[in-house]
Amino acid sequence: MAEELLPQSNIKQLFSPLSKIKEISIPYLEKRESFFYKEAKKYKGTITYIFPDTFIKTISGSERQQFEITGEQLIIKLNWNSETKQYQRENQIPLNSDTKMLQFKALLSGLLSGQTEALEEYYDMKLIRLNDLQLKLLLTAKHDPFVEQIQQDKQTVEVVIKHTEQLKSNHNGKPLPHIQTMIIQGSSMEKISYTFLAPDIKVN
Amino acid sequence: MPLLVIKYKILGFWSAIFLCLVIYLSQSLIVRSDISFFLPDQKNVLDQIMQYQLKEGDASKFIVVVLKNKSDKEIKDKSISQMLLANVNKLLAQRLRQKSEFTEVKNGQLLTSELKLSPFFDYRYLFQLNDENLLAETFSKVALEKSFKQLLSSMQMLLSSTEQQFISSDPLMRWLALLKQWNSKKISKKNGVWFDANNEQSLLFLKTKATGYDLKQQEKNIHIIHSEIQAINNNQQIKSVEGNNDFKLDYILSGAPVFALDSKQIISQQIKYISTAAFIVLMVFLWWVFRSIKVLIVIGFPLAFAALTGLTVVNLIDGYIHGITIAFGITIIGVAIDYPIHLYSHYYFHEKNTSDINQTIKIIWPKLRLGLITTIIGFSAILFSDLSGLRQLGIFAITGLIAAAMLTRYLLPSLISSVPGNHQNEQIVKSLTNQISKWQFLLSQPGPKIITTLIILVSCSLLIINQASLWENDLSAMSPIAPAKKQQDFNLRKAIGIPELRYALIVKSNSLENVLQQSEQLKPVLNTFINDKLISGFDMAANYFPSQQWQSKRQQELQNISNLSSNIIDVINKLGLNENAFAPFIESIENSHLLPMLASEQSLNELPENFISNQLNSLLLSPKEQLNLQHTVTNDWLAIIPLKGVSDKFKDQWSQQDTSSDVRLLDIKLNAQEMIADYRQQAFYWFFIGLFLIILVLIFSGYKLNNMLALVVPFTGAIVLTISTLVLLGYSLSIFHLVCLLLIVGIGIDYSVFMLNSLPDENALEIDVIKVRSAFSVIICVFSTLIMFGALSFSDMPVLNAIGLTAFFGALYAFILTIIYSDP
Repeated sequence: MAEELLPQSNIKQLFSPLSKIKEISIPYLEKRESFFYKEAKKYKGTITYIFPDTFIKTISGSERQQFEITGEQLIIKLNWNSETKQYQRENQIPLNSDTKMLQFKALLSGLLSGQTEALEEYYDMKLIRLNDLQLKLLLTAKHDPFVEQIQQDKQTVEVVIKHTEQLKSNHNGKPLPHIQTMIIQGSSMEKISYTFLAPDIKVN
Repeated sequence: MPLLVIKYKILGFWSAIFLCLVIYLSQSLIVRSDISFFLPDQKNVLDQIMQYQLKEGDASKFIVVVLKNKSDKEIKDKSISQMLLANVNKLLAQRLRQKSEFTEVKNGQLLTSELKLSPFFDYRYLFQLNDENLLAETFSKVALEKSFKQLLSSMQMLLSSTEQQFISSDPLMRWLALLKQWNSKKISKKNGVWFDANNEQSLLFLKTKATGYDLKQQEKNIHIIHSEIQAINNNQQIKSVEGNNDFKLDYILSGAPVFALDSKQIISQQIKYISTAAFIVLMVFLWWVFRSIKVLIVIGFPLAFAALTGLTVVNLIDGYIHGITIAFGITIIGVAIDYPIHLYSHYYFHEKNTSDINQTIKIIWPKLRLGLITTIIGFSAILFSDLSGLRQLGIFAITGLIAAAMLTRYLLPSLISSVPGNHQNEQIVKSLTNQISKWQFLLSQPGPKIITTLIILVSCSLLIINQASLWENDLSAMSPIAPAKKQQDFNLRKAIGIPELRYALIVKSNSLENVLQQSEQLKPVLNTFINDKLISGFDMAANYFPSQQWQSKRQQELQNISNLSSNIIDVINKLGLNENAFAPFIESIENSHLLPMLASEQSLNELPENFISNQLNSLLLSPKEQLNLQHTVTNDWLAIIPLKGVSDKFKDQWSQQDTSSDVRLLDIKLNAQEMIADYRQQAFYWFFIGLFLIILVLIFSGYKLNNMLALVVPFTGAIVLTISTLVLLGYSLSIFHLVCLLLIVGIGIDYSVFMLNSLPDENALEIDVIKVRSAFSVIICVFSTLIMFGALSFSDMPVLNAIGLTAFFGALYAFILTIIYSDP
């Protein structure tokens, strides 16, 4: 089946069922390639969204850290222990001080809580049907979050979404989008690839 | 030569002069409108800097744009309103950055032009960060590891290629920290741009290329801002955002250029409306008396000619004219309307005797001339003033009144003779003159004379006793801008960190290097003041352009850090980072101690135009720049250190500091007040010298000594009574009141000369006719003056109100006293 570009209105339609979610937790595998790393870094952890505006990214393994965005604050907890909920040090950064963080929050808001208007603020969006079960959301950043004036080499995000029958029953029969992979490409030498596993969802 | 030919020649001659003046003014008139123009000429360094700061200083170039949502309905999600305001802010900034009229457009966003800004970026390790002591601490292994770990955390959000390149050279983000420090903006950000403390208004500030007083250019600048905001408001990109149905964009502009334009508009509008109203009432009154449109037109000629001449002469001498000089000057020369009124009124009465207009002008000319000379002497008190604004006013008034008198003497007789005679309302004339004769008889009895003399003497004594509290020294009190607006501007400046116009430290030294070193020595003292909350901040050239001594010290420090490069490489490797990616960083540190010194006069002159070089221009004054300002040769460099958020206690604390005599505190407000007070003292001396000269002129004009009282008491008494009335009404006296008092001198003498029964050039046979025609012409003049200035007193603008009330009461008292004393 050939790839097909879908109308913009389908994006909102696709993500709107997520607005009913009370809490969603998605285990992930992350591969981070960067000009600044000796070799690609691999992480695993969980990304959690708690209604209305809390996003938590927990990295497990040797580089244990937790990034929590609540409202307009980013809290970084170093040496985070998921079991004891203890950590060595905490850094608090106002989200508004950095457009890059706002953009990241918008990405999470769109993909996990269905707030596509936040996504629209930072990205141009295209929805492509890959096959009967999979869709691809292609996001291109409107600005360089570091220096907004810069128009070249914009960040792109490629998200592959699957509709699964398994999740259907959780929301009045409407399918919930299940994000399978996400590839964020900064420059030619900056790339993050996420593979998401089956989510744990609590619906209102 | 036939009379008609002579008449046309005269008309042609005057028409040619009129035309020349109009053509010259339409081509060359330059109007300025800054209040500093009403400050005395610079006499010392502080005065010089004060005027520089007010006219050319950065503080006079800032415009703050406040964007807000004016919708009555509360937007459900406040963040949508903030997002929309931020979008408007970003779009507006983007558009305005493309305009050459603005040298800086800041809204909290990092700009491409600020990244790796040459040559300053290369010198970043030689600058000092506020919270940094020694470079050895910054580059210790522990500190480096902490910095690189922070970098790793921030890399959780993906880097763009620009950021990647930037981090390669500056992973410690030192340059961004310096930019933040230099901008010294503690203001909060939302969606990447500045917002006020309540997060309801988005802020953007602009620095104009034009100076604050260049009102023509500032008007264009403000128009650009208005139209750009309008264009954005109509932009579909803003309208299409979901949830913005209740969003309505509103904005406020604030800052010195905005206030200067507002002042100009308020002054022009008020003058326009009030003058139009007064003019209509005056014309109705004069028509009621003279019953001829032609007479009304003829009466207007001297006034128009006076204004054109005054404007031309001032513009020729100074190359420009101040807006207040025009407004105030035209009001003052409004008394020139008295000249044709005297001529026409006397001509009417003379018709019964001679019917020769030339004879009439010959008879009244000595009186007009005497009134003119004494008025000129009065205005000479400001002609030699140190205040360029008042000097212009003196030139304007004197040349204008001379022109009006000349036109009345040499052109009007030809014009009036062609206007059919006897247009006056006989009944009114009789009724007015009868009334005035009655009052003159009643008031010229000894009783009223004694009472008024006593009142004048008592008032005079009280004024002398309380003279210290009579005066308003604050120029800003005369500004037409509402106090609420001024306070709003003050709050905005404080919030954004723009220096207020008031306080600055001035450092003087014989070289650029020394002036920078002295400024650097002040840093710890000023930082202590910040810690003690006596000031909130300061700015200085040495922040952007450290002295060579400082740079050399930093280079030495860098050289002394052992194993600097290997320490960095160890940390990079320990954290699993790619050493090669940070090669530009390691190279720049290694090269820092080899950099040629910045901060030489040559390197200062060779700086490319950017926000730092603009800043340096306003914070450093070279001997050459001072030569342009003061026209005196000096070898000294001056550094201006504007202080922000100065508390009341600061001045006391500063005076206790043991600083070099080359460092002085400039309090612009206090300095201006002292200058004004000094000037007032000086003006007072001139005023009394003027009075003495006027009395001498009156004596030499042939008036007997017993008539002198009738000539001198009305205008001196009117001055005393006017000041007393103003004080009783709660007004403080300003320089504008003082100038108006000079006007009263002219008006008072004019009334006395015409009303005095026993005049040097008239015989007893004509005494009744003289009495009637003099009383008639003076009373028309009095009513005209009261109408014109009475209207101005209704203005809520301090300057116009001052002129209006002073002239109104002055003319009224001068007339009453003239009646009382005119029968010696």
